[in-house]
Amino acid sequence: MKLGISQNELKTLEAKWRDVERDAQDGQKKLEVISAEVEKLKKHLDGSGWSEEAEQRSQQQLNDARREYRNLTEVSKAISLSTYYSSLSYQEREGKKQRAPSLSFDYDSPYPGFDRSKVKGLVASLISLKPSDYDKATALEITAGGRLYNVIVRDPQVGQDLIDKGRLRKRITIIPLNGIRDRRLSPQVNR
Amino acid sequence: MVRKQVSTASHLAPGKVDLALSLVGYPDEVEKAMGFVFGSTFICKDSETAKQVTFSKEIGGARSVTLEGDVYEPSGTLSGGAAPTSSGVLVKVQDLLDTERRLDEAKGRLDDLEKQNERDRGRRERWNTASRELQIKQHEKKLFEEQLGGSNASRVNSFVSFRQFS
Repeated sequence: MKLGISQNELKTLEAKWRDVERDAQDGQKKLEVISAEVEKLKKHLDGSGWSEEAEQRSQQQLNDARREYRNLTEVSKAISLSTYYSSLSYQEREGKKQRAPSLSFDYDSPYPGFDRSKVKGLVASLISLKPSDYDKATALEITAGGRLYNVIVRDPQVGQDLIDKGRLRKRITIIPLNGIRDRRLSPQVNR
Repeated sequence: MVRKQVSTASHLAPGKVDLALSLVGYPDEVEKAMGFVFGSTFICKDSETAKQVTFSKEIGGARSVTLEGDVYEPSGTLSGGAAPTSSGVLVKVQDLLDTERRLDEAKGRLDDLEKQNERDRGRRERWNTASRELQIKQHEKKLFEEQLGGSNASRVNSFVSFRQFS
């Protein structure tokens, strides 16, 4: 009787063991399928033409370029300001605090669609000097005097528009390119 | 006549006098304005030269400025003394022009990189999708391996109980 029970139990256990074995085989097969899929996706990723390194490199380059551009914009602004301020005495500086202190000439477009390239800028900001002529910079500044801060424009109409509708922050003198009396001596012979 | 003035000046004091206009650089389009501002003054090395040039009968009267900043007018007036208030502006403008040139270059580089970035967009999206898919699949694999490990354990368990009866 006792043996009969054990034999029954043995049969059940044997059946269970076969199930477990089969499950294990199925599981192994499925794992192989998944592994193959993982490998396939890895290849797909490698073939995408992009990578973690490429991503990092390209972001780094972009950030560097943006930072450099921002920095230089700041430096350029700072020079414009300091140049103008250092050209003034202390009293003038105090008096002009409210005005736009800049070597760049600020104005509002007199009308919509105004071509801003018609305004060339301040005389001073358009002058380039050879380093070997830096010792003549003072003499040249005195030569130009107040005209250093005159504004060069294309024609008298542009000047008129600026003064009437440019909302200028300070008093300016305009030099219209095709309306100015040329009083220069010829420089060629002097070379 | 004007040409003659300039050549006469350089004959009077060779190497010591320049027309102010010939010392400054500027965009071609503003030449007339620069001529107006710098075209009728001589820059002279010293006051001796300046006097010679300004009061020369052959030149017939031209303004001269010395490196020190003294101004000789044909009318006879002489200005000088304290350092000029605008001192240093033109040298600082050189700094500004240099910075603006570098700014232009930096802008060019930035534009190029942004264009490149735009061209890389397709590749980057493919890469993003592919790495997301891979992650999901790898996670699935890990989960399944854990599950398999669990059933292995139960297999061993069953085997042990089976052996007990044999």
